[in-house]
Amino acid sequence: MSPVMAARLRLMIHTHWSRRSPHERRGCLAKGLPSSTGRSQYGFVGLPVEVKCRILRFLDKKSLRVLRLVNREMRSICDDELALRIQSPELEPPSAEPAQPVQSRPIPRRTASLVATILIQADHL
Amino acid sequence: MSQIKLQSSDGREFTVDAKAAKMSETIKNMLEDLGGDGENAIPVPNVTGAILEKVIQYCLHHKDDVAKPEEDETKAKKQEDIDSWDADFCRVDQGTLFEMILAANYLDIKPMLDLTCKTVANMIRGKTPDEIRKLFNIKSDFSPEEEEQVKKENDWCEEK
Repeated sequence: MSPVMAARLRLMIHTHWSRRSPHERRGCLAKGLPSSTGRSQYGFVGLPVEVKCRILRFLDKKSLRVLRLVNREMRSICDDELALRIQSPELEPPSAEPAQPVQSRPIPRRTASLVATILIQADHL
Repeated sequence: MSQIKLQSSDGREFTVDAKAAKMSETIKNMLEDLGGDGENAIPVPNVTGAILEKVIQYCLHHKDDVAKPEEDETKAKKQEDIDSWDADFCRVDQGTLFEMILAANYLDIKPMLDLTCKTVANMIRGKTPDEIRKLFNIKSDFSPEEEEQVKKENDWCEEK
């Protein structure tokens, strides 16, 4: 690798590291973790806040209200997202509800009895 | 240069189609700024071989996709937008899914980041707070009074 490329890489890694809050960096250092490597061992909790906020963009208001009951951090970022939705309702995902299974509509009683009559008559033929 | 080499944090090397690799804004910028020779592997220090393999799999599948215009973002939020290949791609254990999110975020691959975030959102939807805590191993740090307060706020803003 050329020295320029190596320098550029070092800068990128430094930038990535410096984007973390002091609290996050302290957490990584305390556990001997270099930069973001191994963060996912903390699962959802270990995701950077900007990623958590991105996840919230795909949730409807009802889910956000449930999620804000989970813990303080989720309450804070869900409240920010809910406030944004109030300001800009178009941010609400258009089809956020899980797809409902297709249910057959109930057959009107008259139609049902007519079908039954036809079937009985056809049976006689 | 049609192929470039990437090296994961655990030293594995991958030869990748340049178009697929350039789906990553991070790699694209690096190649544009410095010009790669295709011989030396580009280190990807924050991503393990197993995850880089998944990232490459995604990029190879989507490299010819037409870029979505920004104004189409609301459409991208639709849950039904996850096609069957993408759904299969995200059918991994939770740890791998979060590693994939971190890799997509670090390498700046927006469509992959959206897909993986959407998958997590789908896991959250329809669950109770307790179920979400259990699912993601989150501990509640609310005091009983605080929890009561948050519930009250929710009742207050509940749409009738």
